[in-house]
Amino acid sequence: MLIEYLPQKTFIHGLDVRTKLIGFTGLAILVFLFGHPLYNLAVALTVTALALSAGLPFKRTLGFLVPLLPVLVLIMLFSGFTQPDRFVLPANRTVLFYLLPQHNWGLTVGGLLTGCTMLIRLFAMIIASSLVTLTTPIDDFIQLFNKMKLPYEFSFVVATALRFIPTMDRKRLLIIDAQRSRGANPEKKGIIGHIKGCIPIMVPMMINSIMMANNLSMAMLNRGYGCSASRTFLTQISFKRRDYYTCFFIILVVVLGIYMRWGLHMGVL
Amino acid sequence: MNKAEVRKQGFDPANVKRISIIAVFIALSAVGSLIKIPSPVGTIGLDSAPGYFVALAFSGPQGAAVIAAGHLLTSAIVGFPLTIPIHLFIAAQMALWALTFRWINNKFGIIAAVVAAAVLNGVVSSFTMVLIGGIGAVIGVMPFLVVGSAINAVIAAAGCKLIKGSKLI
Amino acid sequence: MPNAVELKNVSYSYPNSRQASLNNVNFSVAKGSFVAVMGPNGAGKTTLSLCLNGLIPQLLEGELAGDVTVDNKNLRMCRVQEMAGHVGLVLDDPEAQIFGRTVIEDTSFGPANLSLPVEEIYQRAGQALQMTRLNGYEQRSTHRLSGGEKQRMAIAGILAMHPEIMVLDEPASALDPLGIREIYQTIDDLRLQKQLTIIVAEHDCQEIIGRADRVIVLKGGEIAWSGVPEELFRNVSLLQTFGIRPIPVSLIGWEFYQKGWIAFAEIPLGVIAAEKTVRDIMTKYNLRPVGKADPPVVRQPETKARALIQVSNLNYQYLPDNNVLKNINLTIRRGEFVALIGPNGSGKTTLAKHFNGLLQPSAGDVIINGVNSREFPQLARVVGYVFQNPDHQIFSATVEKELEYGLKNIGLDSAEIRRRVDRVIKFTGLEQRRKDHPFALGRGERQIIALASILALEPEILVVDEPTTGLDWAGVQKIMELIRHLHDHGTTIIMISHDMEIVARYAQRIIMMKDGSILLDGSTGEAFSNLEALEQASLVPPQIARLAARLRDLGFTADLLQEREFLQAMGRPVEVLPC
Ligand SMILES: Nc1ncnc2c1ncn2[C@@H]1O[C@H](COP(=O)(O)OP(=O)(O)OP(=O)(O)O)[C@@H](O)[C@H]1O
Ligand SMILES: Nc1ncnc2c1ncn2[C@@H]1O[C@H](COP(=O)(O)OP(=O)(O)OP(=O)(O)O)[C@@H](O)[C@H]1O
Ligand SMILES: [Mg+2]
Ligand SMILES: [Mg+2]
Repeated sequence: MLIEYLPQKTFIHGLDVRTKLIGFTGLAILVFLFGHPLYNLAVALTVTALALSAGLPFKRTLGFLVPLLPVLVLIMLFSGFTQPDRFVLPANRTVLFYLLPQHNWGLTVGGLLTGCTMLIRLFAMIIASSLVTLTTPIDDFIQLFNKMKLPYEFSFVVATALRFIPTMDRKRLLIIDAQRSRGANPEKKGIIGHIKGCIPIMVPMMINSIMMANNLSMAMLNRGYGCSASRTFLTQISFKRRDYYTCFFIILVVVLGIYMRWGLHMGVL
Repeated sequence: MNKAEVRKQGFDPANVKRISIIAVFIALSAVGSLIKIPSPVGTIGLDSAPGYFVALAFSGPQGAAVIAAGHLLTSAIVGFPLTIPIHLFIAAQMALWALTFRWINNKFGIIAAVVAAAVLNGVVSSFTMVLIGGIGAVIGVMPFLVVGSAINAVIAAAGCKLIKGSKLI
Repeated sequence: MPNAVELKNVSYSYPNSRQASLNNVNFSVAKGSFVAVMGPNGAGKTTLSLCLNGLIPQLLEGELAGDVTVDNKNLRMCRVQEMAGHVGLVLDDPEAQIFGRTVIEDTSFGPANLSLPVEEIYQRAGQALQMTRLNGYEQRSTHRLSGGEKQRMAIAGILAMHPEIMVLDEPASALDPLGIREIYQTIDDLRLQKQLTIIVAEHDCQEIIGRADRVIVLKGGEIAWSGVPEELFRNVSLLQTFGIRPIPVSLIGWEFYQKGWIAFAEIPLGVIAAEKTVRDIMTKYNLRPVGKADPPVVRQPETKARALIQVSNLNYQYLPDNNVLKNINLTIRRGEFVALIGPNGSGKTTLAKHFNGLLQPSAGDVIINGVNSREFPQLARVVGYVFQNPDHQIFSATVEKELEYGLKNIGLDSAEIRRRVDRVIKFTGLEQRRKDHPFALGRGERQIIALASILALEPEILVVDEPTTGLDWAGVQKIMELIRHLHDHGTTIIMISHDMEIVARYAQRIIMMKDGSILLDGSTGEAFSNLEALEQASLVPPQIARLAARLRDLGFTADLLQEREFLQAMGRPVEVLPC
């Protein structure tokens, strides 16, 4: 299976999917509330702690960030060179140096801080995202769709798509072998060569998908898909006591945050 | 229940056919993301090619569904590197691009469609990044997205051309 | 007795094809009976099964004429989903019928669609799994099942809908002999314990005979013949015209019948009956068995020929510490015709993939043509590998282009490419198909295209992985004659097959595998007379070998494998068989 649900018994695993999504929203609000990196850092560290408690594989998750590195650097630079007057606090308006003559493109303290904030924000959100996906079995999401009264087709498509991934992947390997034994060599030269090279793999995949879809549609009807308007669901997600407590706590924290920001004007730059 | 009612609930066989195509090709998107093409701007996965293909070979809405769900699935696999809300937003955009892709193909031909895909899914979608990383992030992802969507669109077009002659579509 | 199924003047043509796939089909099936629908590829068996529960025309549009009545319901009146409770259709591709992550989840998918109460759903699912001998597998992941288990799960999923009629389209294709037997035992249970009406579309006769009450032969979408199976399978010349594979012992019986030694009704259809017939004949015409005469067609390999493939202490594991191949040692010499046999999952494909470098040994060495496969990139030119399913490699818009692909890969100039394509197209008889789209052709022709695309590379060694699955008798013979022809002209052949009759007919040497190690490696004769090895690999020797074994006391040697050999061994010159 491609999407690894980590089957464990941690507190977060035990939570209802809806609770987790509320938590995620709360987090999103908090990180966008404050401009100052330290506040976001606090949030980020909390999330990281939760992730650790849920046994999130950090190496793997952060590994996926490597391709994003240039982006991250650019984020720092571009936000670094923001106009001084954007900032409330005088300290942040101080310009460290100018990139261009005549006082253009000044690197401001506030700019640097904003850059940090953005990176930390991104980091926190990424950890939270993978935390939700990795601690929730896919069936919970599907049942969530049902609870949200989305048409059954919707959850059926998602579930079926996931079921077919291993099958399609096996086909992929078979097709690659078949073409390799016809002399297809992986290390083609040039990007054009590579594009040409994956047509003999992608096209049979498409053809097989169409055939499989035809059979699937027949199989669905053979098994009475859509026979009656309603349908029995064998498992149900349920809101437990711990979910109520957690949600209450989350809302509390968010309200507190809003008060700190707009009431006490904390965490501004 | 009578036929009309059934149709209203989307349970008539024609709809079942549509659903099965969507489901299987979403799976293909996930698998396609494992087929990598190295490029100067980073390795490109073929995760949106199935969506564009379905848009061409079957129907715009189907293609939109496949490309959007495919994007969410493939980014879920890598733990939503651009965070869940952004990926949701991008998925919505891609659905729109798939529809446009088919429309332009019917109106101006496949070349135009591929170019449009590269511009829309490459340049326009990049600006989504403003939300999380300012203009820097936009510049950062743009080349990757342009090349990626161009390649995916090309492969979808090629596939469609090669399969047309068979009894399959 | 009331009819479960009734077809009146049914004709059908697919939306995107001109000629009709079913042509004025009339027949009826009595409740509780077992009907086999047979016929060559493209005869319309699948199309017919799709008509029986309304998938045609409700899902697949197109021109349907005539009336289909199932359980006294006219299919034009009821939706497919509602018919699911009356007639269950099991498709030939089990992969596409899986709806659950676990076995129980999958089996309950159908009942859940009927919005039944949860208890009843699980009760139905449990019962269905019981019937298909899958109880105990409830929580098993559906992707961890063997081919045979998947097939049976597909049947279970349909059973849970509680149909009175079961339609199964090639329920046992691509399974090993054991898997086939289990499927048909399951079908027997359904009949005996649940009194279901069974309709099976099937190429192979061996399982049908003794089970079906009636056979309907389709040809070109029309009913070419209909009657009791014995009538059909005794009439070898009729089978020839229908393109259905005859039963080996019946060929011997047919020979006697031609000579006027026995009556038509006496033509044996099983080994036991054949034994009796032969004993009678031998005494009646007091024949003395002579020793086995080498059939002229088979070329013996030069005993001291160059070793092309040398495998030493080969171990392979896909996943850490789980050896799929265990310490394999073998040598294959130029000009041999080797058959790799063994149950599903015994490692045949995995081993064969080492011969053309698709896989590298985890331990040990594979020497191809004197070079270690580890440092030998361009193996495609030396070892051709034809995969089981042609649809896993065809991607071009015309047959011609498909054949050119491999040649371009190995970097030949366009003139040479043209020459080779012309030659291979001529050799495989695809001249008319040159410009056609491969997927506008039938399964059999696509198989030939796959073979041709490898032959164009003119490899010295040819590996063919289950080349005959899903092909009708004509297709099987065509493919096998092509392979034999190559062998006669010096190509070394390595064939993976589950079809013991084919192996017996064509191979010279057998490598029998079980759980990733070689159980037996010897001449075809030795292999098929080594009953305990066959037993271990849950394989059944070909009928003739079984017959000869039973007649040892008369002086027959157990290494007789083909009816020709057997008849020669009976000590009378025989005329050429219709074969
Ligand atoms: N989806 C389709 N569109 C157009 N023609 C088709 C389609 N499916 C089958 N046919 C044609 O209908 C005829 C009957 O096909 P069908 O699959 O019923 O034969 P079959 O007896 O099942 O063959 P096999 O033994 O290979 O399964 C063939 O000529 C085939 O080319
Ligand atoms: N890609 C793979 N990854 C992991 N295990 C595999 C893979 N391919 C095959 N296996 C396992 O290796 C064993 C041998 O598989 P293989 O396909 O060689 O058997 P086979 O004899 O060819 O079976 P069949 O007759 O069904 O083709 C099986 O247990 C199978 O589950
Ligand atoms: Mg068929
Ligand atoms: Mg195999």
